[in-house]
Amino acid sequence: MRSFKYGDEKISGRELMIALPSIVISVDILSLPKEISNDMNGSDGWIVLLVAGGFSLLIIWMMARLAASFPGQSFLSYASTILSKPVAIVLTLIFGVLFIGVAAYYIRVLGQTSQQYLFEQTPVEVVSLSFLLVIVYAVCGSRAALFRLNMLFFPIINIVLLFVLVINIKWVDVTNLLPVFQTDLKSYVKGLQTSVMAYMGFSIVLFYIAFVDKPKKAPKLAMLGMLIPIVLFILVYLFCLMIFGHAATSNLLFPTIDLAKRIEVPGGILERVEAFFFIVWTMGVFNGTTLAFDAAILALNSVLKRMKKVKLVIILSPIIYYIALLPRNISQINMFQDFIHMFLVSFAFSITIILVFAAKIRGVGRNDKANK
Amino acid sequence: MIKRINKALSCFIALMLLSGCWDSVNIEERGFIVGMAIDVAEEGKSDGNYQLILTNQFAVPSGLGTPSQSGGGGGKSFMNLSASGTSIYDIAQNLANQTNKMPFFEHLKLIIVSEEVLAIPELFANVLDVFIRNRDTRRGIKVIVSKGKAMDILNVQPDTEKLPARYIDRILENSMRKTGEMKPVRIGDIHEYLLSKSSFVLSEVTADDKKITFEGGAVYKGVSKSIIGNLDLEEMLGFELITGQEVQGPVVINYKEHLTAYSIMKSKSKITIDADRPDNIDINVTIQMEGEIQETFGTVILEDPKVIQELEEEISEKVKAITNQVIDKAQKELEADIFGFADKLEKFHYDTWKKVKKDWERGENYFSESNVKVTVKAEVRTDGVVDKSKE
Repeated sequence: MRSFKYGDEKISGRELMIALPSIVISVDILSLPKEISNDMNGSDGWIVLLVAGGFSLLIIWMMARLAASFPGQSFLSYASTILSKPVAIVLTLIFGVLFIGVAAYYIRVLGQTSQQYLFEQTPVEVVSLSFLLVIVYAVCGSRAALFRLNMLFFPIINIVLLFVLVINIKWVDVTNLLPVFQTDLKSYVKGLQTSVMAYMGFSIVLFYIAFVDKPKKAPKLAMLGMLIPIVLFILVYLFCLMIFGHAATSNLLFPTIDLAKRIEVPGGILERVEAFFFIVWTMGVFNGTTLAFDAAILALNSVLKRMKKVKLVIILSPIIYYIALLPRNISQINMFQDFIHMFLVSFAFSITIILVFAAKIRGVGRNDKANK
Repeated sequence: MIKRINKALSCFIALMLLSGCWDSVNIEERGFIVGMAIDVAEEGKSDGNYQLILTNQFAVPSGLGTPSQSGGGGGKSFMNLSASGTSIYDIAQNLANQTNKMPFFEHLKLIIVSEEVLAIPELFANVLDVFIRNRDTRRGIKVIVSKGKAMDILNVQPDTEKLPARYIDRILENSMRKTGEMKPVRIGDIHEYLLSKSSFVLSEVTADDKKITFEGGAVYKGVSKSIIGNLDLEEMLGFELITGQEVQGPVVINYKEHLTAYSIMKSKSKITIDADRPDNIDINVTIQMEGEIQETFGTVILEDPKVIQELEEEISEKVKAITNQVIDKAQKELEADIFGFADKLEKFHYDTWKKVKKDWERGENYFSESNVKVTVKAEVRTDGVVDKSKE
């Protein structure tokens, strides 16, 4: 098979900036309003979304700074410099496994949701499989091309999402946002946990900075990109509250889909606008899943240097498919989701902090020219 | 050679994978359900569950014809099928077996529930569960109550419209322009009411062969989980004015002992609550109306500012009487907060709300004890194109 090769495998800073929100938004946008309003009273959820967002910005800045201070080096190589080779290998492998989990989770949610809303008779296995095959095709190709595809899809996803919000303005009742500041402290902690986990996807930054052409600018751009999901999450959350009210929002499985279903275009010509929303959402999940899968390959490939990428993809896809189909029902999917979220977030955060401090103490990175 | 086999194989696989669709149902095989009616069967309770009768109205496209064909195909344009059972979903599946078409709920517009169903505690919420839960049904489906058998409503055959369900749907869409008939309640709203255990009002209709008539409203009380009373048309008008729905329509008053009809063109309401102590809740409702004099049996000359003032006062008094009557009924007789005061209280006085939440409509009955004051500001804009029509 011949494939077109780009001049280099470098990605631009802006492509990285778009990739982050893609992977963060992809799946969580559907259920996030429900989860947050389950934890929080009134419309107080925006506070935790904002605080958790700020926290994520801080972490992402640390990650990007750390990775950028070793320009052109993979995670494995700079982690070996900071800690030691065996430790770095273990860390990389864990990241690889986690990203495999994320990809599997995304595939399952896509399969489950489209089976629930679109294909009643089609088994979820088939939906997931066909989706996985497309993902495999995408991942086998050039890495830079993936990022370019992201650039293409991302604006479309955002425009449709905003369109869904704007067209629903007719049903908005602003008083639904009241009462404010009536949540107790315990719920704040819980809400913070939920919203931090929603932002989990951005850990890929640790791996991708190595490919950015101008790594110096990367931390700023990464933070800028991270602002997009924060704003979008808050907007969607507030709109769900204003349209459905607090009680209904916390009881709808996917409030965002119901937002799309709520649309009634006068004249009765377009009765099912949500179909359009689904198409675009699938594109979003596609973006997120390819990134997660690709990050997993990147991590594993840096350890197993001799293995060819395509071979790795072919070995990994059945594993991902198997993991994706492990949960039997919706509550097991939720458990799977919580597990992946929790593990990835706490692991990525603690590793970042450890690496940053270890690098400081041992004085490696940035000025460390000899190591290059 | 191997290359060629590869190519052929991939073409074959693509053919297999891309042409199949598990879910394809051709449009002529779909049975479009446009309306549903839910009744309690005469047997009543059996095996601990109520026997229900579900009636589906299928649209028959051949009977509908095209607009240009004036009159259409001549055949009946709808088909009503009923079956009984205990679970709505189970009955719907039975009904599917009675037709040669796949039932399709995406175009369901209207659910009619008989008063009997609502009178049995919890049954209404249970019956609606399947519609809220199902992926095909939308949150915009309208729900109304029938005074007699719900399935009779789906049998009205108006001359102007071929599909009964669509006829009722249209009436509900237009009903905002008439008083006493309210904005249709949608299933999404009901979901919110049920979740917050609020009381609400559904519009109630009866039907004869050719038309449906609005009877007023059925009051569903959140804590008793059933309907507990009715509102007549005038009380419905009061209810709509208080809750600030876009009421348009006539109010008939006596001005200087002559009948005079005032038509509301625009109305809005503002509810403010003063609640520092649970046992002293003041609710102020301000209703603002704009309208015209449409008809008088006496003589009204509006050029005189004094006449306008008198008329406005008269109208305000009348509207105040109407609204006070319905508030009185809600507080004393029904003890049900149909106006959504609880919602306002929760939003604007959360601390007080936490204290009264448990006893709002029962126990201490804070709702009944609260002081509701209505202020009406009616404005008369014009009196038509003549000063006098007679001497």
